[in-house]
Amino acid sequence: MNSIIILLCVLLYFVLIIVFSLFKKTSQGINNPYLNLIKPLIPSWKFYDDFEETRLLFYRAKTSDSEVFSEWAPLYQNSKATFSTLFINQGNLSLAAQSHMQQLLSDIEVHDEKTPFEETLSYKITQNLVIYAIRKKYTESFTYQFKVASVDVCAKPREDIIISPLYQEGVDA
Amino acid sequence: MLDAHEVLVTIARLMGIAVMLQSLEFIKMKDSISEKGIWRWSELRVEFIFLPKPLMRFLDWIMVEKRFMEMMTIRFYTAILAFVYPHFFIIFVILFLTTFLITLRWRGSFNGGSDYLTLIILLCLCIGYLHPLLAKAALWYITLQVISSYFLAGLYKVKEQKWRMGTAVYGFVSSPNYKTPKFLIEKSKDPAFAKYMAWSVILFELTFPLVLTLPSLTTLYLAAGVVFHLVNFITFGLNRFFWVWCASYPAIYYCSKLI
Repeated sequence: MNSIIILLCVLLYFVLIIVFSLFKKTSQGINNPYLNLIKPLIPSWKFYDDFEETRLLFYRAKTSDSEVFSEWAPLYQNSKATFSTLFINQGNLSLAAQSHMQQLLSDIEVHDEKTPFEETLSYKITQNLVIYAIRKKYTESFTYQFKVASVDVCAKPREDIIISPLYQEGVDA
Repeated sequence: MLDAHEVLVTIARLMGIAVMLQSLEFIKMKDSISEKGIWRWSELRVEFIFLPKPLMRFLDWIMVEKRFMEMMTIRFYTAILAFVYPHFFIIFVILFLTTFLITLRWRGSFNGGSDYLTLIILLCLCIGYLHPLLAKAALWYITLQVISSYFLAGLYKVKEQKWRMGTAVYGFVSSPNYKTPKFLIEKSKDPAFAKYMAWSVILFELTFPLVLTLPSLTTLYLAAGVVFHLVNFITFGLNRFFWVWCASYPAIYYCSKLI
């Protein structure tokens, strides 16, 4: 008897999920900041449902004025899976960067123009992502620019979504 | 009949491994949270200024690079303790709180779904250790959340035409975001193979609730789940999902025995 009740409850739970998913057309962001804090405890469990174009972060940099900018190069592509990355995967930094790109794109959509987008947290983090990656390549000061663009399967930029002005980054004292 | 407490202990040990590996990853990428790194607390704190002042003062204290890394080190050793001696309620309170702070530090999550399930399981471990009845409730909650994670993912996919046609498979595996093995990209160019893969994933996810019905199906689905997460790791590099989802499987096994 107990088993039947449990089974019925579980069945009811999944029927409710189906009914709920039929009515819920879009997932609007949560506006209450306190509820936002506990959002990770109420996951939506949407994985790979949203089939959109891939968007990547690109940069180009040069170390002197006489130099010509390099080609736009993609940043934060995940590394290849190996046995050791099953345990410790530094590529998770790339996945976190990709999650940030989703946040950036959604912030671009809802930006209200009252403040320049360059002053938003998402833009600053994007800029940090770029500086962090370029610093691993250059030890001297450099001029750089970045953009977010939709890409083809070869990671070549197709359409620019946001493109930054030129920035100068000095060497740390 | 399985004892709910013993099942919680098994989950606690597996979570110990998962959280230990997660903590090591964070420690290895510590410069990304420094004031010269990516996620700088001096910039992130603006998102929390609505909080009461004492709470804000606490965040200002704990979230700076040095202390956050000390917290990660404590989390690492606490996770080892969870594996070696998983009987202390306080271990899981520490792991839950530190994981929650990680989600705040990364504006919701560092690694998406794996952070969410880590939090849910750790919260259930905290609650489950309080009373035998709560242990059962905690195991049921983990089970329903994990089954929902597959079922809902399948439901969202089956509603997408590109998934039903199979073209989504090539779209995801060929995405420049991931370093998917070349043979898999080449193989998924074949529409028949892509459709077969797409429907295998959709059917596996949508029928996952059957895991609770028959003992033979329980074993079959849990084994398939392990393979599924290994393939996801090889394809997309999602190692954390593998450890956390596998840690939840004893709860599903326990609940299937109750039906």
